[in-house]
Amino acid sequence: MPGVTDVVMVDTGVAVRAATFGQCIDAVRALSVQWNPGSVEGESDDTVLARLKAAELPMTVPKVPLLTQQLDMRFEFMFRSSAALEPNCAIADVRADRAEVWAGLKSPIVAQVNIAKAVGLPQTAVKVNVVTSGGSFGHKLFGDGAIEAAKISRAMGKPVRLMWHRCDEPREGRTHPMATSRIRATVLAGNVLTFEQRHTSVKTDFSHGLGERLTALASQLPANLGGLGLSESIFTLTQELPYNFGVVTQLLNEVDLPFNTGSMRAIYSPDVACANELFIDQLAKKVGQDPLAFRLAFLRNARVKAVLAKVAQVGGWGRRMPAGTAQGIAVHSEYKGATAVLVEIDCRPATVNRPIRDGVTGPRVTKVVLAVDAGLVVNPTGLEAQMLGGINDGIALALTSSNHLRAGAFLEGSWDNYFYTRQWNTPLTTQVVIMPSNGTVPGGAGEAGVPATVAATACAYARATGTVPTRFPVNHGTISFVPKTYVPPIPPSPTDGLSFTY
Amino acid sequence: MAKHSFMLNGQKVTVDVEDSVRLLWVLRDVLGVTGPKYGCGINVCKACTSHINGKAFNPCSVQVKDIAETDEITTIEGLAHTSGKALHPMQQAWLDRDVVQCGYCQPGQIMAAVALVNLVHAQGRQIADADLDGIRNICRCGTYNRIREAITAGAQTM
Repeated sequence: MPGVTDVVMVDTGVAVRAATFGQCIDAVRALSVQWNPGSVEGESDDTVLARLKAAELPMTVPKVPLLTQQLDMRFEFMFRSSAALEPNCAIADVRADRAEVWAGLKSPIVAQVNIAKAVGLPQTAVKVNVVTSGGSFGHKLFGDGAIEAAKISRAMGKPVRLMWHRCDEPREGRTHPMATSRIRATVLAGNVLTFEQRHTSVKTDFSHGLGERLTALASQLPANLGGLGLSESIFTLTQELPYNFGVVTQLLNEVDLPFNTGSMRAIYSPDVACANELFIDQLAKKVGQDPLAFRLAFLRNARVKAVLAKVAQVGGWGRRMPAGTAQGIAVHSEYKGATAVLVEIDCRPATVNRPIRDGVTGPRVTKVVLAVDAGLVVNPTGLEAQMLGGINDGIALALTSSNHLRAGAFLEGSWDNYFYTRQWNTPLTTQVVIMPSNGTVPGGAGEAGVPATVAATACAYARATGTVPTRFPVNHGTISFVPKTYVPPIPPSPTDGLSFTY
Repeated sequence: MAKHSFMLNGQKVTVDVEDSVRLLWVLRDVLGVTGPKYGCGINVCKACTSHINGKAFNPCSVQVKDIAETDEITTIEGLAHTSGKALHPMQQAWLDRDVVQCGYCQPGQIMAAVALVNLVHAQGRQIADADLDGIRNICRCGTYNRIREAITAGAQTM
């Protein structure tokens, strides 16, 4: 075919090398390949949910006085794609005695080790160059593109510039694992006596370690983490409930299924925070209290209280909202800091049914106020930007973005299938309040805006609709696209671009 | 293979490629003009947005044979030149508002923004929320809010 120079099989698939990527795509479409069953042949959302349910640890029956009220809830979080707008890509030049790779990488030394292993060279013979790249959301912790490019370069005996085509990204790329979260709390005479959370997840791939230096220190972790696997350790170290809820236990259990998972957008926190805060709203309702008042009464962390009070004040918590619209409020404590988010959402039919070509509209978050205490603030404009990004991601996770698993494959093949937040769903009014710089340590910020946004959006949605969603994203039950071809693995490139100029 | 000529960022270029090669790959892989990005290849993500004769278009979905010798293609690399300034007012607005995060979608965002403002101004209007809501360019980093602010500011100096 025109432009094609090489076709090779590697362990991850068939690679085509050509003069232009368009010709690669044409050639990929023309390939006739005998495919073996995939690693999750026959699995679907329902079968994986059933496996998670079977692995869920029983809740304890807490020893509490008579007349104690108990609330139980269970939430489900579907698979989500960590694909960035830039596809997995890398340049690799592998020779008999040395290799050089260029790629976007978050753990370059780990990638160097894995590349060396993949091409059978000593680590010292592999040179890895980290380049500026287009978004990670967790997947560039792995050197997926770099390792594959190295294997292909070795197989072809030539330098290659590898780029995944778009359809492979949601289907074969890293995903946020599916998870369920169950919470049981007991309340008596205005006190929350117990709060028990059991989070059950498809296994999160942490094989990149914590960077090679931190992983080497893992053996020096505190004694009471002994016996916990890496996932469980990370869960225990990252999850923290900032409320005086008596006896609090939060535990993770993972099920080892061969999905391509990874840390994505605050790892466990978006799901855990969403479950917690939506549960807390129902707890507040059960004891007849306003969501803000309930939280302020039980929060035990001054910094969390401060950000919560701030968004309530700046956002006008409690103002009268038209029917079908509502406010939601949530907090999150992590990364040596705290965030609070106030959301206003419009779930009225005129908004939910806005027409859009090749996309979804649905409910719209119209206003967000986020307050962040990030400790020592180095770059306020940058910090604000990080929060704005987290807000858009949180809205997507709560309302519109997920992968659907059917017959062993994800349906989604591009951005008109995977519904990340778009201009028509971004809030019209957004305000980020940066709490005064404090302390000597900068807190984390890159993902800090996500969990409380997911949570506040879920809370607002429940209050606007009078229903409590228990599966996220909220629109997962509706498939708003026609799945793209699997064989060939990508649709043809259109030719009618000149019909859409403006 | 066949010869195809067109104007690119103010200069005439000629390439020798098959008729059906999409213009995005002519720009990126043949001419080394890498401002327009590949995000989907099917005219959905709008990361490759550039201009043809001053109008926004997506070269991922146009065959090089459909570009005439007199067509003027502008990519982000050539945008400033069209304004006669060191930076196009929209680029300056982007810098003033510190819009960019990873940067991958931003060339397309700026090209789309310029075309949108030109369209709105030609209709005798000012940029409004409904116009901004209609921008289809995806930003996975979620910079939409600052994009909107930058477009509104940039429009005032266009």
